[in-house]
Amino acid sequence: MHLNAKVLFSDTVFAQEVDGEMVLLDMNTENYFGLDEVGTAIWQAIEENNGELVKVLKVLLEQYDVEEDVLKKDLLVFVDRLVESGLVKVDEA
Amino acid sequence: MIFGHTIDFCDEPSLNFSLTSPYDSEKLLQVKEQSLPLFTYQTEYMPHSLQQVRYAFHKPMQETKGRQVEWMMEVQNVLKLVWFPDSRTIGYEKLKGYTPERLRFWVYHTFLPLLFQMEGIYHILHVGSVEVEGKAVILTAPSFGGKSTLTDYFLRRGHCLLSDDTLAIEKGIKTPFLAVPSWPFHRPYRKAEVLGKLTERFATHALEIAAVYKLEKVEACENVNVKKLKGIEKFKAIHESAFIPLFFLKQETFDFHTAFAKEVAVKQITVPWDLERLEEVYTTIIADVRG
Repeated sequence: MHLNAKVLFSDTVFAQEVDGEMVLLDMNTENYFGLDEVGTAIWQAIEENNGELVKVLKVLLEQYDVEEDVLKKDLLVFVDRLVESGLVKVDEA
Repeated sequence: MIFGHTIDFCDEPSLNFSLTSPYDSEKLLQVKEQSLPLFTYQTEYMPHSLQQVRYAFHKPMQETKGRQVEWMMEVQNVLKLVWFPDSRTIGYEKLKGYTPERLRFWVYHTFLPLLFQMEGIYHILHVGSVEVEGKAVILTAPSFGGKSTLTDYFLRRGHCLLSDDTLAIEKGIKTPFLAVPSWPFHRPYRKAEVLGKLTERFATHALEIAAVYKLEKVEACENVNVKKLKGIEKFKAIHESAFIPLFFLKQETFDFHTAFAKEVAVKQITVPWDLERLEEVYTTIIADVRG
């Protein structure tokens, strides 16, 4: 995966914030997931930036005092995990 | 009042309670024996309360969401129940194993909760609930997790019952979530198709909610502890208390569960698996509610 990819949310995954944690429910599998504060911030940044990872990285760099290379790697790993869990898909075009 | 409504068993008046609370015509539902329509869509039979139950509709439920439509619940060899929204009537047909008590059980226990959920009148949780200091305390646990036992203990200590099985939650636009009392029976024992023992200590109106307590079974020698839940753990406690998950209302159910979790305190309480220690669990909850 690379930064030019776009994250696509699944229609069958519902998401709401509860107490600062993002609660995700996959209606197909009935599996649910909780994202911690950082994961919630990334999820919301993805939602607000149309899934475009380049923009998401820029937003997160403004929020967190972390080196760009580190944050880029963490972001891609996080998105990979979301894909493995079936919560999102990625358009690599 | 049953779920805040007056239910009139027109053809089985012995099943009715005397009217002790005022009601309006919007909250009167009649249950009548009558001829029932045929339905195009039917589910398979599914196990429920040691019977086989199926549902039938005129159109796929994904289209109608179950709102303002006729639909049927059939308990195999016992009875069929149909909702007629235009006349606000529950029609029924007797089958071989019909008895008046089974009619009341299936209307209160399953048909009404489904009806209220589908019509968007209430959201239904499979929980116990009692009144403590003018508010509703809600007790949640998996089956055989101690809800009925603890609910019964609260009743014996003089508290009023809201629910021993199925609780309605009401939410207005600018009002907090309210717990609506279900029916005045409680079951300190398990018996299929039986509502349980009638209690006079039954809450007379909807109450604000003090907190939800998720009961966590622990060894008999462990301590009783209360821990506040947050985030995903809070959501899970509510989500796992859903009455019957309706596949055509998944989004609405999720939105309700998260909104409820945001607004209502949800706590986990460890319950030592020893009846002699129920008093400790009881006094811990009382102290916690009092803050």
